[in-house]
Amino acid sequence: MLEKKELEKYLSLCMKSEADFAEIYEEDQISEDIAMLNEQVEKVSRTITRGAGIRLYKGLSSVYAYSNETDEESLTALINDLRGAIGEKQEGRDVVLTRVNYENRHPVKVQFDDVSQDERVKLLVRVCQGAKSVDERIVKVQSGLLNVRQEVQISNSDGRLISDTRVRTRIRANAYAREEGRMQSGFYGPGAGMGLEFYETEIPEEIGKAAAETALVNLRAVDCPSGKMPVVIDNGFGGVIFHEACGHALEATSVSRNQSVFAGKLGKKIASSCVSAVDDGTIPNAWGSQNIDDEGNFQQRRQLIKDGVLTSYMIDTLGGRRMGMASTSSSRRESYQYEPTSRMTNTFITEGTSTFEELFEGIEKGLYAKKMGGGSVNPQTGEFNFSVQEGWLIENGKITVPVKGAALIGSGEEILMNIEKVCSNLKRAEGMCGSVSGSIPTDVGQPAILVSSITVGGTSNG
Amino acid sequence: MDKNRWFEAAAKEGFESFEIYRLLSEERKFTWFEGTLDSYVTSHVLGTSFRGVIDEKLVNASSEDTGDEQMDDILSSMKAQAAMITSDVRASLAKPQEITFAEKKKPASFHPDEIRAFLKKTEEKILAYDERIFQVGDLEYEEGRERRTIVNSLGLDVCDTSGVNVIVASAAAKQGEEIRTHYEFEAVEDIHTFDLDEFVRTLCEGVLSRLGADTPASGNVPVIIDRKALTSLVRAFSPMFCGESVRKGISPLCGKMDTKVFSELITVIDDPSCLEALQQWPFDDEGCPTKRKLVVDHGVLKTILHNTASARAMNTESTGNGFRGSYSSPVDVSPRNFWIEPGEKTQEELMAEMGSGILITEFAGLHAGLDHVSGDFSLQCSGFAVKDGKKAEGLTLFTAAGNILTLLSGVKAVGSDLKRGLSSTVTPSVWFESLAISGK
Repeated sequence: MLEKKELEKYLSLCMKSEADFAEIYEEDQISEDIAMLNEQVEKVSRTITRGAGIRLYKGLSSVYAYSNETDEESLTALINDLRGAIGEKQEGRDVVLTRVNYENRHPVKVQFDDVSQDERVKLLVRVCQGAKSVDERIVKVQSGLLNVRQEVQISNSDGRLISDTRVRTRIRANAYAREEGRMQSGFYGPGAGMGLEFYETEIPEEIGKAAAETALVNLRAVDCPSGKMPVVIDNGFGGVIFHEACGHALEATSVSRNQSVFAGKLGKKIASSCVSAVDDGTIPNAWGSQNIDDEGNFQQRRQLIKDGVLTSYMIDTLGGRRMGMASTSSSRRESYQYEPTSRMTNTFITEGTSTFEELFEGIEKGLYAKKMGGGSVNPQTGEFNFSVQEGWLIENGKITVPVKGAALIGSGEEILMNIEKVCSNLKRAEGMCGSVSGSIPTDVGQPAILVSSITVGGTSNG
Repeated sequence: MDKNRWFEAAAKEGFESFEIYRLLSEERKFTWFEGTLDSYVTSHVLGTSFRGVIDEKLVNASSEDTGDEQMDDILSSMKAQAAMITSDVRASLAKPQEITFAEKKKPASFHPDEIRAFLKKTEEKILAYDERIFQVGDLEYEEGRERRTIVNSLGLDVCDTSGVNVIVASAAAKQGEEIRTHYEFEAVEDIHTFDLDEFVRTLCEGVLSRLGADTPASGNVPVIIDRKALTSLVRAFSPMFCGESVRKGISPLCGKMDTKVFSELITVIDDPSCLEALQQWPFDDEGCPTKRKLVVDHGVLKTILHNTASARAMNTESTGNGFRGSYSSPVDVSPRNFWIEPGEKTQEELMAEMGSGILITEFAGLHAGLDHVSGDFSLQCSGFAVKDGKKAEGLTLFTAAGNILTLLSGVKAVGSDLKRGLSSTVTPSVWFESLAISGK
């Protein structure tokens, strides 16, 4: 990382231009990924990412340059390129930095490289053993252990100098079940903004078992019905519905350019009254948490929707300029190779009052989406999709037979209004979210919910 | 970086062979929004990856700090990683082989003022096309240049360069309360000779034809999948042709070599060196020469794609398909310049013969809505109704579900509209017997 004096020199050079703001983002990250097939380690990859990104604003325009060559000559050349693009000046104000210190909200007990290699590998062996212990039809288990430690230092022309260390770990387990020549898979991939102490409570054998159980259910899954029907979406990763149907459309990335179905709707009712939702980047050691966002502002808890009414967007500084609103500390990026923009952190529907059983009452024919996969959305039209990894038929209020995975699709505005009941069993789950500033860790989450009508993309049209 | 010093130090640490892969990427990206230059991004990144073999075990490491003072740390860390590997897959690095370098025309680079004028003109033309078009959402022009170098201690020393200029634009159109969007991207050899009118016409017609779109009824119906949509589906399922998936037994094509897997109307080719394509890869990311392979011949599976590791595990030779997702990711197996051979009929002729059904022009959610093991998929779609043999009203918010092997086995006819472009996987439009549609 650069010294304070060097940063002051570079930022002062940046300000010898028509820019009204300059920022330097430095990153030094180490990651290790161990991949295992059954109980054999197949691949081990270590990656060191080290570079800097420099951004200048002039009103609503931005210029950004990044490089992994951070010597004086390279950085000066980059800055001069940016000054040329935004308009050079010979005079400018000198930047004086003040370091901002704070208490780390996400302490780590066991750094991954403080334990032996054998112990790290053993975590994955346990995942495999857990999966295979479920049933002899589990014929293959692929697993992976990802550990990341990212150090960032952010400085800007407002005089702010601040650092953060983000540590995260995740196990991914894919179990494959075979019967009579048919093969099906199941996935489970929990993670946290923690060190390896995470696996003291998230037991590796249980991770393997969860993946195996989904694979086994899918072995006996029948064709999924198609058409519009009521759907009960379970807690945890089920929250991907809110992430896609609403979350992305509340980011300044789309709202500030009037490219969102929810632009201009602050204070208006956009969801059923039983829906309240937050985006909370402060939850200690959560997968999507940080001490500071990628512009160096302290993370916040944002109440996005309260009793169906839109109360806040997720805003970064540049998006805020466009909207005439303050940043909500929502600026994030995958690495120094991306210009940051407004993104989600840990985003979830909060607890409701229904019991799990009440969600199924009165449903003649519907779908129970027990485990969800990923999805995507077009924020401007609000049309979204997400996939069901483990689904069951609901017949006369009861969960009956498992059905093959299917896409659920709809329009965000309509679906939010169609959430009829929200249960009290809130749970979050970890995922990776892709958007213009790269792939970042985010939590989705919700209690189980009932959506009165949604299009289910099955293969059975009978 | 002194490669011989690295090779000597690696040998001292016990590495049987050692490889240094370097990728220098330079980019300039201009984004235009509502009459002004919205953002400008420039970058210069030199990424380095190392691979070493100890006891026939292969380890990877990548670093953006490769000063010689980092050498001891990197080598000892790689040696420790090798000790973790317990798999019985044996690995080796590529020996030098003869490589044929095709002539590649390099795209030109342009002055920022010329690029600004180009983007301004593009936005103006899109907005002037039709009064229902109210916004040009994303408008970007990007120049990317790469220089790839691979050297190893077995004597391999290869290098190539590539470059591409790209324009991306999206347009939003409104009719009453309904808003539709559409985007297009295209390689740009020269911004002064680029057929901007045709690009703008395709983009604008694309968005306007979506206005007034309805949701179709559910049912099993004949479909034509447009070349761009089918390209995205085939690209998403391409791991099934790759040695890594086959070796692990998780490809639906396992055990099906030399058997009929698709309709006899389907022939698939992979040729990273193909001169008709936009980009060529004379060697893969391991330094193996690439070649033309008949992957599927009239429905019969003829080739599984391999890198050196998957080939060795399956007692065969690398097909020159060892590629990395990025400079820092390990070498995997993937196709490059991979296509379905075109047939005789235009898309209009296919529609005329089909009579009624659905033309699918876009799939969404491809990263989540398909199962690579079984080949099953269920995806959000948009497209058009086909009535009386002609393209009719737009369709949106429906899904298509099925199985990729079943789908490609039920081919009625393959279209002639194969078009090479930015995607290295390409297909023509294809008319399929039936697909399960879920809508109203």
